[in-house]
Amino acid sequence: MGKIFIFFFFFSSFAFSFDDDWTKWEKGEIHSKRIHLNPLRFTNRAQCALDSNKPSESIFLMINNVSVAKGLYRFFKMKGGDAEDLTKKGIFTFRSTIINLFSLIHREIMKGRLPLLPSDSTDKKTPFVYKNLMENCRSDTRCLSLDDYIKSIWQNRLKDKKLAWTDIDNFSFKNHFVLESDFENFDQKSEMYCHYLKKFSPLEAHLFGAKPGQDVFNKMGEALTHVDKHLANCFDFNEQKNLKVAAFQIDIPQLNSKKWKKKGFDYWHSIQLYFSWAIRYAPEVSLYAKELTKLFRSILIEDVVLFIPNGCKTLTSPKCDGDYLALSHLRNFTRKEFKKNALNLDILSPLPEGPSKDLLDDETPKVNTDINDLGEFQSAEKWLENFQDNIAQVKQVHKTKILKALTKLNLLYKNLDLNFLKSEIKEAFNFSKSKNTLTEYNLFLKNQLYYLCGEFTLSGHNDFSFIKGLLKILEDSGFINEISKNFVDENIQTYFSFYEKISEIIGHQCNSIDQHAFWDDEFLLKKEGFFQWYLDKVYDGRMLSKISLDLDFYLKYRKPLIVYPQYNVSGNKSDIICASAIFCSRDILKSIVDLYAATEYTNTFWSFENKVKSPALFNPYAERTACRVYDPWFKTKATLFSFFHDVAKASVSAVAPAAIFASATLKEGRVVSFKQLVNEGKIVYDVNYKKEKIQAGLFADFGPLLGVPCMISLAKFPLIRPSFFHFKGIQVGACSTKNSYDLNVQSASRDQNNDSNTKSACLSCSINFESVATTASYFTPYLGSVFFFIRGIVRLYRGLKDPLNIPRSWETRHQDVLDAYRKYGEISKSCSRKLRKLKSCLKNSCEEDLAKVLHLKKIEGQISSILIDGDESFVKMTPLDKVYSFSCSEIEKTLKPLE
Amino acid sequence: MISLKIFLLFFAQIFSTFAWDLDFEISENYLQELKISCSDRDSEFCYQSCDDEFFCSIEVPFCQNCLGNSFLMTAIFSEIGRFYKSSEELLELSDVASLLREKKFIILTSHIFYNIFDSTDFNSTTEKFQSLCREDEFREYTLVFWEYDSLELGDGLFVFCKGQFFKIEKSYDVILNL
Repeated sequence: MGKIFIFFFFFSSFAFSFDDDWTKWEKGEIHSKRIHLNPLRFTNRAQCALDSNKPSESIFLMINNVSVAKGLYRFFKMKGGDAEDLTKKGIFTFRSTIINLFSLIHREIMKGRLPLLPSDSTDKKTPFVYKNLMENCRSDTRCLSLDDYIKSIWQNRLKDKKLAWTDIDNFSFKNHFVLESDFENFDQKSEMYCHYLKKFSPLEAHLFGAKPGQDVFNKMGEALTHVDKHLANCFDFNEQKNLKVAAFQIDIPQLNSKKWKKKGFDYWHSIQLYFSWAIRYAPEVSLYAKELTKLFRSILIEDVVLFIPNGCKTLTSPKCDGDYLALSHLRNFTRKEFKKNALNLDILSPLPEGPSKDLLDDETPKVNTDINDLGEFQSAEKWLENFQDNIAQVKQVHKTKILKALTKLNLLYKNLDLNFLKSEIKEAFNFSKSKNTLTEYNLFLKNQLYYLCGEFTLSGHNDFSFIKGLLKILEDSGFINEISKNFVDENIQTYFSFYEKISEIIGHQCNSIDQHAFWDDEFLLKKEGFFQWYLDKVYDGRMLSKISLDLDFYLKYRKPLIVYPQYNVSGNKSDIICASAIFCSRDILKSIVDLYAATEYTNTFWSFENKVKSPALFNPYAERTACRVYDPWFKTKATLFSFFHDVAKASVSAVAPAAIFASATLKEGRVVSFKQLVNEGKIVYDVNYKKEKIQAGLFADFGPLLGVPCMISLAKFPLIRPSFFHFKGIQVGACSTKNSYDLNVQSASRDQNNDSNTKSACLSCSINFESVATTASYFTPYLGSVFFFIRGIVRLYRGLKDPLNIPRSWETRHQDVLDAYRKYGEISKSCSRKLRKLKSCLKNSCEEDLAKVLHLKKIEGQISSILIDGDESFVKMTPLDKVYSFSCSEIEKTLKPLE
Repeated sequence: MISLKIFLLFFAQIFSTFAWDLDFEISENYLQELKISCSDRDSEFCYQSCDDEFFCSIEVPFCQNCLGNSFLMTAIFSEIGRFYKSSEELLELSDVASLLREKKFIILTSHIFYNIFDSTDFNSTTEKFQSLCREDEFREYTLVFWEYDSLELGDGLFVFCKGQFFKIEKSYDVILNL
């Protein structure tokens, strides 16, 4: 009887489920498309740092078409017709051209019809012709021969591969082409997913946090049920409301991660080069752009398009060089409060420390916590608009600075006679000396001469100036010559030599007087008369320059020396080129400093390589890892440098306010000097620089030091003693009486209070790591394994006592999250644990397998209800409730639609 | 000899002012076209420019990388009329014709689509362009011809002011108050 009951119970329950127990997945709105996005990869800080050396499988393609829109509007105004409407259509044509072209290049590479161009041309497998080209193309000038090379590849791609490629270069199929084995699933080889990004949301949860928990998955689930609010089809222009900017997400699916690690960087490098070339020359562009093809070819495309890696992985293998650091600096422009804080940024300072400053100021920045303020904006477009607007504004500041500097140098070079300048300055010294009484004008003049001598000594001392080395780099850089080509007649070397001649004249004049007598104890220095660059460097930016007041004062007594012809009519100060021999000389130096300042951040704004930029916006550890400021494996192999140094020699500057250097040697064997690194070949540099030049540059920068610059400032006079140089780092102070030096070592102290009653002179020696870093960051492409960020390492050591520094990562598929969310209505803790291990959490192996097969077979729609019954299972799919039958044991083979 | 040249230039100027005209437009095919109409008297200018005695339609190249925020384009649009000035030197029509024939030039106006530096509503560059011509000679959109060879922008060539072409040159004029 009991057995009968049990049998009856099982039979009846089975029959019940067979009749009407379709499991409904009802949570959220029903939408038709499956989620075509690559899995999200969440990482903590250390893993993010490690990931910077892995090529990304997903990017944000950012388009800023403000200038394109302006151009289109003017174009259609000239042509006639409804300019506004035509412009709007033109913008969409432009965007679709970009996406189509990207897609075409991707397809051609993936199908093996375009070779991969190696991102590291020093690799021995690099095709010979390409290697030769890259060695001869400077990064700061356009490389037309590369255009020709790509043209021959492009034309060749439709011919018989094996015969044709060897005519162009020694490409190897194994290394320089994408193969079937590079994919997990060969069927999806040439696919790419493209979405228009409406809003940053939990769909990009990996940019907002590290380890994803239950809360994150529920938010993701909610966002995925309304996916149309966040993503749209790339070509659905009705969804693209913002005409200024557009952000797209492009994912490459089904890559074999091991193979991709080897070829990924080459893939992105190739995409960037082919893309820049193709939009200008490829005949296929006319298929997309139609009648606007010629107009689009005139666009400076590298100004308009950015490829940004989506997450911690990168598109370019990070390098510790000036170009990479300058590009990484773009991250600062994403901040919502950028404009408020812009003036405090190094990039806008009169004498910037360079892109390495970011690394020094913050060695362990936050990561994966919305570091780019994505969540602060209503839409992805608004975020991008802010980002691009900030870039445009700062670039404008730099351009104006360069324009003014070059114009002034150009005019003064052609019109200022050096003999006249010499006699005028001599005359100014004589005039000032001859006056016993301190008249208002004489005080002014004494201050002017003080500024002149101070600024020129700081910049031009033959052996000791620390900025001389930097300015020398400006002289060697091709950047200014390249951008000013056809604007000014002379090149930067000519202007630099002009400045050096003036520097020599001023140096001679300033040294030939008895300075102590000339600027005696009665002399009161008005520091605000210096240029801002000097105040920032010497007085740590604690005051603002009021040099324009000096000009007003001067004009009360004298006529300006050199003016534009219109000055005689307008009387405007803007028509004055320079007011006196002293002003003119200082203006020339200021112009050189301005050009240097613009050169520091060249790669942030300018592109000469015909290669779309790809800054690692979401991974501040890319450059920190490359520069060894942050070491993801630090805990196991950290090494701290220890220092001991002593002042071995002191030189005395001729001019009181300026810096002098003395040699301080580190204890033998403790620290490897830069010079030694160069000699040993550990600093690899741009092939266009000669080794001797680098050594000379380093020597110029460091004076007689063996690798570490040690600055000594001398203060003789009570009134001008305070605050000469304040450099971060370890300091040694040495104060002396008149006859003997009494060393007073103060470790890690910035300000030294010397007993003014007994000491009449003080020396302080600062090991200035910043200037090493700044200078070193110029010698592209690589800096070696040791980068002297001592301070950074010490701070890092303190900062590393947290779990963020043990590398960890988690991966999740969007579709799995959506399936779980729709099935259960809420994602549980245990489900979260599975989801972040790239597993489904449907708790039913048949359902899990079904979900995989639906994805694999590209069956569109979402599961709306499901009936599992072994060999007779059914699934209904949105939006039309189309029913498929399948057998749980062999889903892939048996899945078919019911008639 | 010099006075003879001035006389000839003056003579040429009087006649050329009314004899032929020049227009610049975007065609139906989205191309930039420079159109020159010549009368019998000046047919040689047209003939030298395009082998037709009465009408030339010269396709003006699109300048690569000129639609963008480059330094040189910024410099040109901000310094036109001050650093880039028109000289007093009137160009011979035959010289102009041979330059047009080579097609190694682009045309800049204050309203050209390369000018992304002004807002589209207010154009501060117009006056700068107009200052290249004498007041009685400028037209609404002053045409400036700029060298463009091997995909690179070169120096300013000449400006068209009411039937005359004046050379564009860089100005280093200053006054020294010694």
